[in-house]
Parts: sequence; structure tokens; C-alpha cells
Amino acid sequence: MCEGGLQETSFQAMMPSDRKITRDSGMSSPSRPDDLPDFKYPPVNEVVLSLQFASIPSFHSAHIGLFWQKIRHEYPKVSAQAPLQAAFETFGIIPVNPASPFQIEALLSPPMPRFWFEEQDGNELLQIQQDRIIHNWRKREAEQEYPRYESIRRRFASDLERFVDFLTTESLGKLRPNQCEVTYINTIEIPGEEQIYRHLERITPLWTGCTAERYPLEIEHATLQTRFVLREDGRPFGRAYVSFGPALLASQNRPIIRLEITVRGKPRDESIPEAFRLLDQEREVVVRTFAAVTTPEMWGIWGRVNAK
Amino acid sequence: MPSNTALRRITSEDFFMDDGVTTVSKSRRPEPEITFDKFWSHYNVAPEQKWQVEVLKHLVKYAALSPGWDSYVGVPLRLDAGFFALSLLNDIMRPRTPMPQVVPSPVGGVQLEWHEKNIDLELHIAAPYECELWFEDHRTGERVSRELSNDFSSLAAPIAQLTSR
Repeated sequence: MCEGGLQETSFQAMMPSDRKITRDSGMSSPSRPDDLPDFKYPPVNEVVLSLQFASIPSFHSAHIGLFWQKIRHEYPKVSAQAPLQAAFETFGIIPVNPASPFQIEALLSPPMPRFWFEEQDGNELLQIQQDRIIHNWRKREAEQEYPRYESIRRRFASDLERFVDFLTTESLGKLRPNQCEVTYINTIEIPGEEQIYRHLERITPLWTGCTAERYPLEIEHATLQTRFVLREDGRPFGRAYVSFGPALLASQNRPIIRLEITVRGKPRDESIPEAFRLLDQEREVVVRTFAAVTTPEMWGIWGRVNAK
Repeated sequence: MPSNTALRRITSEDFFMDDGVTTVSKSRRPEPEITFDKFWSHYNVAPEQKWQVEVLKHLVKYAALSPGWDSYVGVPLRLDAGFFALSLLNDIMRPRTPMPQVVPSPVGGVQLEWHEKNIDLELHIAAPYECELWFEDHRTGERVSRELSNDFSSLAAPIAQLTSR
């Protein structure tokens, strides 16, 4: 099994050199850049938009029920999950110790769970915990079409607006975003190829599948993980994580390659419009990264419409 | 099951945390179910190193301070500022790096200080990505005073000197 190294590569070259972030309200739906890679049949299986914010200590599990009353008609199902750990992207120091698993909140009082609010059919999901709000779109049926980022963003903006209003009404505090994250999960198949695990080089140019000497090593499967630094005006503001790995479609026991791309970064200030501006920027990075780390053969299968 | 179990895992994937993603690859081995009443034991993981124990004690104490704790307008430690400080220390503390003094700041942040080996090093963390660094090496006369956001490369050399001297 081979693993890509955790090399940090500057991502700046991948963005158009004249790209500037224009000043606008930040909450309005963004216009899609004309040169953003586009696919008729993208292999997207899940999209996650996440805002991490300064923990609101006064926001307790008891408030969840009150908030659920306001969204219950849209999200009739609710459940509790373990809370996610806070994440920060810092630079300039090579970490010495593994990431710490403990949370201060857990030592002050029993931790507040992360709550899932699901649509009846499970396609869309809202997740809330004391320092995070997340919206997921998931593909539940094979024929289900990807609704596109703009539609998912609108739902998230609507969820967030209602949550912020709730915090204000209940005098719980102000929501101050300190990290934004966009994740796309793709399930990749090669039509007619049952040994897909052995042919990662047909899916991504990051993998050659070759060895230095002629030695009959039979690849069973491969995992590739790469991390890229994102810069703006020469300064790092976030990272893009790319992960290829083998998986099986549970419904048909069919081998596929799972490609996960996560872009995480710090907004320029702790305002919601700025956070959405960063989410839009991160989504653009995800899409450009997706095209950059996949092969023209795959683009043909996915129906790329604007290849250079 | 609440998660989207459409995929089954072939190998472990621990590259980065499962940040709200629901399309998880399930292991063939059954995983222990984490129920609500197990949250406390699951998350009350004992710190592994002495500095973690000591720093955590301070952070927990400061997070529980009452408003006006400094007889003025001091606010308790912001939990995200505390966790940011903890994460940063996790990145920089070597086995021989001296333990910092941990001091609350009235704005809800925390100050990490080292005053030894002819070195004064102070790092004020007001909030995630809002930090200030003061460093003076009394042997060489070197001084650094800088605001830091997400780039902590300025901290690397002072910590290295503090650790190796």
C-alpha cells in the first residue's frame, strides 16, 4: 500500500492570478465563475458546509428543543451525536504532539451533544453543537441528481439565519465564526473496470502506480492523502485536504474509489457575511482541486463541459 | 442508523477528523456504540503529559471565573480561546520545553509566559487567531513584538531557544 506524503504545496498557482474577492454583502448567492470546471454528471455523494464559531456557553441542550420547534416542519427527525472537536488551521510550526483529544468543555460540565436535524427523506441534514453549525446534502438514491452548490448554500443560509435569530431572541449571544469548511465526497467508478483499486492512476495524476524497478508487485489497493496550503496575497489562510481511498458501495457491494476534498480556513473577520464569502471561495477551491487531481479520462465519464 | 452508510471501509482512514461528514466508511468489525450516557467518560480523556495536566487545570479554573474577577471588567476565559491555546501548546511543546505560566487576561483570553534562562517570552491569546507575541533574549539582545493570527513561524525560534538552552 502506498501513501502520499503530507507535503504542503502552495496552491496559489492554481487560482487565476487576477482573482480578487469583490466586496458585497456576502450573503447573496455568488455568481459562478465562467472558468470554474463544470460537469454534467459529477460523482458527488455528499456536500458539507460548516461554520465553526466562538463557543456559546449559555447555549444548552434545553435550548435545542425550543429551536427544533421552529424548524420541525422541515426537519422532523432529530438525534444526538458526539460533538466534533474544534479545528484550527495554523502555520509556521511543525506539530510535535498528536492532536489532543480532550475538550475543556468536557471538564467544566457534561458536554453538550451535537444534534442532527434531518429531513424526512434524509437528503438534507442540519447539525448544531455549542460551537458549530453544519449543513449536509447527501445522495440517498442512485438516480438522485446533485442539486448544485448554490441550492445547498441557500438552505444553509436559511438555517443559519433562523439559528442566529433564535440566539438573539433567547439572549444567548452573538454568533462569531472563526473557521469555515467545505467538504465534497465523491464516489468514483470506472465503467467496465472491476479491479478499480489497482488502477488509481486512471483516476488521478497524483498516482503513477509505477515502481522504480521491474519487480512484480501486484497492487491490491492504494490510498493517497495530500494536503495543500492556500494563500491569499502571499499569506496562508487555509488548507485543502485531498484523500483517495478504496471503498465499497454497500447497496451493491461494488468497489469504488472514495475521493474526499475538504477546504478549511479562517475568515478575515468574525462576521457572517465574511464567513459566507470564504465558504464561496473554498467551494471554488474544491471544484478546481477536483478537476486538478482527476484525469481527463474521468472528466469524459463525468461530462466535463468546459475543459481547456 | 443516522449516518449515511453507503460506503464500506477497506482500510482505516484517519487522515483528518470526520468533521460532520456523514458518508462514513463502516469497518467490517462492529464498532462500540457511543451513547449519550457515555459521553462524559468518552470525552474526559486523561491528558498524556504533565504540561497538559497543569495547563488544563488553569484553563478550567479561568473558564469558571465570575465576571469582574479582576475587580474591573474582566470576563471568564472564552472556551475557544482556551482550546486554541491548548492546540498551540500541543504543536510547540517539546519534551524539554519548560512549563509556561498560564495567566488569565481580562478580555477572556489567556497569556502563556516563560521567564527563565535569560529569556522572556509571552504569548497573549485573546481569541482564536488573535495573538500577540513578546520575546526578549537578554543574552543576545534580540527582541520581537508582533501580532500573530494563524502564522506562528515567529514563535518557532524563541521556543527552540527556550528548549535547548
